[in-house]
Amino acid sequence: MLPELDKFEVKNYWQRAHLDSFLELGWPSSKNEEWKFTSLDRLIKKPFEIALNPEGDIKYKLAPDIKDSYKLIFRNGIFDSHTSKNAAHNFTINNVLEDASAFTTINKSFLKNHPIFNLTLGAMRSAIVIDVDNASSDIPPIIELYFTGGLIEQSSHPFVMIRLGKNAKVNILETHCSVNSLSAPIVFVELSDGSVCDHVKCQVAELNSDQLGLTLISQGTGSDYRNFTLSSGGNISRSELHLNLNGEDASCHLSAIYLGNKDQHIDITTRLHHNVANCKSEQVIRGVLDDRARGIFQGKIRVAPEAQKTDGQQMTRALLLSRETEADTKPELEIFADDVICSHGATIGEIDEHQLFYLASRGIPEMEARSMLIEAFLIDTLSEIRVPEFEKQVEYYIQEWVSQSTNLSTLTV
Amino acid sequence: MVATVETISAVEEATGKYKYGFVTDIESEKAPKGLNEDIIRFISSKKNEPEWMLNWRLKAYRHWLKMPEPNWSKLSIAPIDYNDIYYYSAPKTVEKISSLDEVDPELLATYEKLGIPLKEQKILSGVAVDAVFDSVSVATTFREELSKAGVIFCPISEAIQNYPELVRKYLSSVVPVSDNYFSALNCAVFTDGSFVYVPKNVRCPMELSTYFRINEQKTGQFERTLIIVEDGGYVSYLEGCTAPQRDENQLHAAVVELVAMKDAEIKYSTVQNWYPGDETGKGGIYNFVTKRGSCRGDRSKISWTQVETGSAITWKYPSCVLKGKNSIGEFYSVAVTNGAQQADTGTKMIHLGEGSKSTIISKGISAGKSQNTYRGLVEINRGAESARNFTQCDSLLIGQSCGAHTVPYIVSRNPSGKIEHEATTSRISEEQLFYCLQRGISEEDAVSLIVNGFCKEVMKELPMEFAVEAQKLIGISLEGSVG
Repeated sequence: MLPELDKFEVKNYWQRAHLDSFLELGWPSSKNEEWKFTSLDRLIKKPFEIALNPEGDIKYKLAPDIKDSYKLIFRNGIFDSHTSKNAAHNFTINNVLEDASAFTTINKSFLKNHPIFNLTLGAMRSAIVIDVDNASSDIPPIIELYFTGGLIEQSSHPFVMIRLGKNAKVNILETHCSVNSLSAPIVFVELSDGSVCDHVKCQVAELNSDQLGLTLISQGTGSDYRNFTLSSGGNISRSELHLNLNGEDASCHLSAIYLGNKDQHIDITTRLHHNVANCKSEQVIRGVLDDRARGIFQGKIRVAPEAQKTDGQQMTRALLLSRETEADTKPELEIFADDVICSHGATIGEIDEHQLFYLASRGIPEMEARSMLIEAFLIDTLSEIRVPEFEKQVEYYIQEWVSQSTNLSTLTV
Repeated sequence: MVATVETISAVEEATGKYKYGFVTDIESEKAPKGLNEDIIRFISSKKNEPEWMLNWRLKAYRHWLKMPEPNWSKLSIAPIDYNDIYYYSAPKTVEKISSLDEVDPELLATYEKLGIPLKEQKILSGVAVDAVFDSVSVATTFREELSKAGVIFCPISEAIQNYPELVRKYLSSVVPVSDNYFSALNCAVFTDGSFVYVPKNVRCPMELSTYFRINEQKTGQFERTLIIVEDGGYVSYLEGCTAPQRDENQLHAAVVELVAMKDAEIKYSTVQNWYPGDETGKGGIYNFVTKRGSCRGDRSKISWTQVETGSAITWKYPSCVLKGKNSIGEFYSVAVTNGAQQADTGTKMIHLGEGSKSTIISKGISAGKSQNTYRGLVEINRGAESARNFTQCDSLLIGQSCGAHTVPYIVSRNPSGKIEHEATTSRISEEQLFYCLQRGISEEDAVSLIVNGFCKEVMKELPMEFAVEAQKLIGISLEGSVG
C-alpha cells in the first residue's frame, strides 16, 4: 500500500505525469492479461513508503570479487557516490533528473501504461546515465551495478541508463540484494550501431523483499546484445525484459535461469520486438522449482510487418522437484511478416526416472544423482555467459540456492 | 520461408468465393426485435417449455446483464447492438410435421443446394441429419432407425418436452450458466439445437449430423447442443454451417456440451463455413461459440475436430475437462482465414484425472488481411498424476498484411505430469522420425508423412461431403510454416 502518491514531492513535471498515470491505472490485477499469473495482492497489502535517502547497511554478498570493474552502489535505490569505486575507466556520468534531453528517449519509450515503469519514473530520487564511447578499446570494461541496503518499510526505485556509442563495448553486471519491501529498478541499455554488450543480472534478494525489475533494451544496426538473468531471490519477483530491435542485422541472445523454493513466486517475462528486417533473436529459459514455489515464464516475440527474414527462436523448460510446485508458461508469438522463421518450444516435467535409474544402477546415491541431473539441466544455459567473471558470480549464487534447498544435496556447477 | 504457389492457390480455392451466399425466400415468423425478459418469455412459451426452463433462462439473462463483454482476445469487434437482433425467427410452415413430405419444398431445396439432401432415400452412406433453419429445427432424419438402437436424436426443444429429466440433469452441467458472456446470452435466448443420448454399451449405428443455416436478416442464431454418452457408448457427430451473403454482421452464439461416461467415446467434428464477409470486412457472421466436453468416466474419450474457413470473426475454444482416470482429450484444428477475417481459436485441456492424456494439433493459415490466433490452455492439476500433453501448433502466412499469432498457456501443478509444446514441424516425435529416417525417407518427407497421416486419420472419419472440403485444406503443404 503506497500512501498518498498524489502528494508525493517530485523533482520534475514529467515525474508527476508518470505518477498520475500510475495512480489512474493503479496496481495491475490478475484480470490484466500481462499480470495473469502474477498477483500483487501480497505486495499491495504491505505498508511501505517511497525511499528518499540512501539508507540501510551495505551488504556485500560473498561472491568472488571482480577486479578492474567500475562499481556503482545503490543504497535504498539511491546512487551512493561515496561508496562507489571507479577503476581506471573514463565514463561520463550524469544525473538524468537534471538532464531532460536524455529523458526524452525514455519518455518516448515503449511502456506507456506499465505500472512499474510509471511508478519508478515518478518516484525515483536519483537517476544516472552512463555514456560509454570506447570504439577503439579492445577489452570491454565492466560496469557493476550493485543494489543493496534499504529499509524494509520502504520501496526503492533506482534508475540507470547506459548508452553505448558507435562500436562501443561494455559488460554489465547487476546484482540485486536490497531488503526493501518493494524494489523496482529500471535499467535501460541503448546500443548504437555496431556496439556490443554482455549483460548479466543476478536477482538474489532476501525472501522478505518483493522485486519487480525492468530491463529495457534498444538495439541499433549490427549491434550484438547478450543477456543472462538469474532470478532466485525475493518473495514475489518479476524480471521483465523489453527489447526492441531497431536496426537491421542486429542480434540478441537472452537466457535466464529461475530457481524457486519455499513460497517464492518467480516470474520471468520477456517482450521481444523485431521492428526491422534481418535480425536474429534467441531465448533459452530454464527453471527449477522446489517446495511450494511457483515459477512463471511469459515470453512474447513480435515480428512487425517490415521485419522480413527474421529469425526468432525460443525454448523454455521447467523442472519440478516437489509435489506442491507450480509452473506456468506462456510462450507467445505475434507475427505479421510472412518470410520469417520463428519457433518456440516448452516442456514441463519432473526429473526423468530413466535417467535416475541409469545413475542409480551405477552406484550413485539418489540425492547426488538428482543434483547431477539438475546440473546437466542448467549447464548449457550457464555456458551462454561469455564473460568468465560473470559466470563465476552466477555459479556462486546457484550454489547458495542449492544449499538452502531441501530436496537437493550439493551441486557442482 | 515463403508459401509455395500451390499452397496459395489451394487457400484461394478454399476461401476465395463463398458458395453458400444465397437467400431462401420463405415466409417466416419472428419475435419483435430486441432483448428483454418479455422476449425470453415469448421464446419459452413458443417452445411450450416447463416453468423450470423459463426460470433457468431468466436467471441466465439477469446474470448476463451484469457481465462485461470480454475483450481479452486478439480481435477487433465492432460494437454489437444486442437490441437490434431478432432472437426468434422460424419458417412459418414448420409447425407440427410428422414426415419429411410435409416439409416446405422451399426448405428442402435450400438444403439440397447446400449439399445436404434431407430426403432419406438420397442420403449418402446413412447419415442422420438434424437441420436447423434460423431458430428452429426443420427436420431430423433416420429417427426411427436410431430409436431402435436406443439412441435419442432430436431437436433439443423436443427433448425438453419428452425427456425433461435427462435435459435437466445434464443441461449446463458442463458449461455453467454464468461461464462466459456469450454462453450466458445463449442460455437466455437459445431456440433450438440437437440433443443426443446414447445409452449404455450402444455404438450409435450411424453418423449423426446437424446442419445450421442462418437465413433471415438481422437474426442471430443461438443453438444449444447436448450430447450424452453413457458407459461404453460411442457416437460420432458432425456439424456444418452456412449463411447468406449480407452486408450486416450477424451473431451466432452457440453452446455445445458433451458428456462422456465410463469407457464412452465422442467424436465431434465441425466444418464451419459461415459467411465470412467481403474482402473489405463488410458483413459476415460473428461466431462466438462455447464448446466443452466433460470426460467424466474412466477411460472416456472426447475428440474435437474442426475445419474453420468461414465467419468474419471466430471466437471459439472447444475444450475437454478430463476428470476420469486415463481419460483422453483430443483437438485437431485447421483454421484458414482470408480477406478481413479474424480468428481467435484454440482449445483448453483441463487435466484432473490420473493418467489423463491430451493431444493438440493446430494449424493456422492466414492470407489477405486476416488475423489468425491460436490460443490454448493446458492445465495439469494436483490430482492429475502422470498426466501427459502434447501440443503442436503451426501457422503459415501468405502475404504481408496478415498476422499469425500463438498464445499458449501452460500450467503444471503436478511434477509427474509431462507437457510438451512444440511449434516446429521438425520435432513431432523423435521415435517416429527416427523410424522413417532409418528407412531412407528424408526428414522433410517424414515430417509431412507423420503430420498428414495424423490428420488423415481424423479426416477419414468425416462423411464424404465434409471430407472433400476438409481434405483440400489439410492437403496444403506444411512448407514455410512458422510456429
